[in-house]
Amino acid sequence: MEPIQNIIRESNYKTGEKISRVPHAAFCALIVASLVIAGLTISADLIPPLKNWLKGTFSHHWIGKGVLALAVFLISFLISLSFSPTERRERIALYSSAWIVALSTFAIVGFFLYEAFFLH
Amino acid sequence: MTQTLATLLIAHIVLGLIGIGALFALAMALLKKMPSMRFLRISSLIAVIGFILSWISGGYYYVTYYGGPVKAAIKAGPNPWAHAFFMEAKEHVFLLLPFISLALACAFFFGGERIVSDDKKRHALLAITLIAGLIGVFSTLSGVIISGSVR
Repeated sequence: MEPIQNIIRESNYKTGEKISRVPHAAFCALIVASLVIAGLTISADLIPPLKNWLKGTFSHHWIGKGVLALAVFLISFLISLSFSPTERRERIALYSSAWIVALSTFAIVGFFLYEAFFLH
Repeated sequence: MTQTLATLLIAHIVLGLIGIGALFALAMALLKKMPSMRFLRISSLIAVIGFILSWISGGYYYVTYYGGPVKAAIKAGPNPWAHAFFMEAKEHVFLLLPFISLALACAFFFGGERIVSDDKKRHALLAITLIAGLIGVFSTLSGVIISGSVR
């Protein structure tokens, strides 16, 4: 078990870089949560049994999506904390999360735009 | 609509706007070469708190009230697309905002000057902040259209 200060402040003993693991872990978790939100949103609309399961389990499909996104964010964050980031990995996580968040947003907006105006 | 639901709806709007304001304040600060860490930390914290509370207050209104009379009125009215597109898109893209602002706050609280002084990382943080700000603006304008479509 690593001391908590290693996780919070100084992590990578291999390269000698002193990098907190928290930002890297948070942006990795953001990537996963964004993908889950976009994936669940679109698939729940296309697959009625999934939407019904979300409704049945969480009382409302939107609550289900929020709870699952929160759970996935927290689990991904905790898993990512076990990795020692380098400056390069952290930079990649930041750029990737910008792209993934933008693409997730476009996917959700584009999907409902298509469903509302072009499907019928 | 009860007084409690009306208050929650107003809280959802005000808290969301506070969160969006904090995001754009962050974006303005991140345009600088060496922004104040204190300002970045406080702004990101305001965004996190604003969006989480807006999520809870708006969520309660949405789950307990919107799906009944409001949704039915919009669908039966002249602008059913206000629900079909704007509400559906808004309620789902909004879910991204608390997580984005939380990740930004983690960067400023735990990465601090090390992250912000790196131009490439600062630009990536600026891009993420602006994307979140635009999601917020889209959500706000969608809310205006949805409210205006209730007849």
